Amino acid sequence: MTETWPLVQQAIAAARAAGFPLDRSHAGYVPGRGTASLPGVGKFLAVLAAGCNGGRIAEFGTGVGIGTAWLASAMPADCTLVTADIDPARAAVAAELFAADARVQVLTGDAQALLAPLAPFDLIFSDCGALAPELSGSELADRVGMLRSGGQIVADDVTPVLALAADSPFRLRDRKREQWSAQPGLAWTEVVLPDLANSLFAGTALAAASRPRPGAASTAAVPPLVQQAMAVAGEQGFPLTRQQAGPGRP
Amino acid sequence: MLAAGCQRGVIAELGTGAGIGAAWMTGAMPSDCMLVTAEVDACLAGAAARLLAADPRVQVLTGDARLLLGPHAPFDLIFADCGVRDSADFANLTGMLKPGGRIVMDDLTPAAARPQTGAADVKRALFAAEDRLVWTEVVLPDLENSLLFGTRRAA
Repeated sequence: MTETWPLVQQAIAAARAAGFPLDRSHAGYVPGRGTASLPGVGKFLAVLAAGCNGGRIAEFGTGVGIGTAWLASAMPADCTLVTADIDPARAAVAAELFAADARVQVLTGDAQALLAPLAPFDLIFSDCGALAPELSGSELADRVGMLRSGGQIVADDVTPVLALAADSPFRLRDRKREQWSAQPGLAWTEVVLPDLANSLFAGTALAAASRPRPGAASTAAVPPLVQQAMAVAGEQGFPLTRQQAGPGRP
Repeated sequence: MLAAGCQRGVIAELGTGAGIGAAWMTGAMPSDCMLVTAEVDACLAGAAARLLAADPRVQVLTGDARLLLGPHAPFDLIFADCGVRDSADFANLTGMLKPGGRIVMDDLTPAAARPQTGAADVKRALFAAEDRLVWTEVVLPDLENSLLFGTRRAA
């Protein structure tokens, strides 16, 4: 199914031809300058895009259009996608790829400035800017602010904590996690890809009434009702993990 | 995260257990969203119903989820925590999703983490065989557990 989307294959071929790094281990990779979206990221984006009936998707950082291709391939016929990249050469590669699809618009320039007037969005793939360690968390807040209530935002290029090297500086401080944790209006989680080496953050903009009061615990913390349910599980002898349950038990 | 996106929606859970999944979902779902959850074990269902009694958006049913949830369809989100045994059950469940609706099935082991047991492959085969779904596998940060996550395509 998703493995065979022709547009994704074309985008990968275009990335190779343009010398655009396909992952963070590529020789041409420069931190902060981005890489092509990994297949695991693309598949996850596709699952989210497929739910955007009648909606609008924004991508910050087109690259050469691989993430764009996953999104455009999976999104419903009545959904539109706008993507922006600061690099004219990359944007041109992507624009050529999507020239035949009237639902997709490729813009060249500062994504934040170009996309803000087109908000609100049902889905944002934040593939640049907020990733760069030198940028402030307010950029993430700006993007979250561009989501409609219930809309979703995804950022990739995260390493799972359990996959970090013992001496990794991210064990001490991970600004990206801190930035996501600091968004009160977002129900978010970390999603690890099946390669167990890369993960992404995915969040949904909470409806105004569901947002925690200022100063309340982070949305990533375990809510009190969940803690109560875990206590009920303990009383009932209901296993909390498969490892506790043993084979064949829920 | 998924429940938070279900404005004016209905969420179904197959297998309430002690209500932990339901508690996560009610914490994030919008005030105009409903959750219907079914558990075959009357003792567990009773405990979960007491836990969630204060929330009028939640209904805890006791019995076979496959039979009880049908009348509440279509759903924006289905958490299939149990009760799906074969492709007929799974096709039935997919049919209960709205176009654009999501389905999640848990309790898998990532292929890269450990040699596979048969059960995980059965679940992946159910998703792979269902043309109405765009789906993927996602791993939890513990790197030991994964889930399958799909969206029903628009007509």
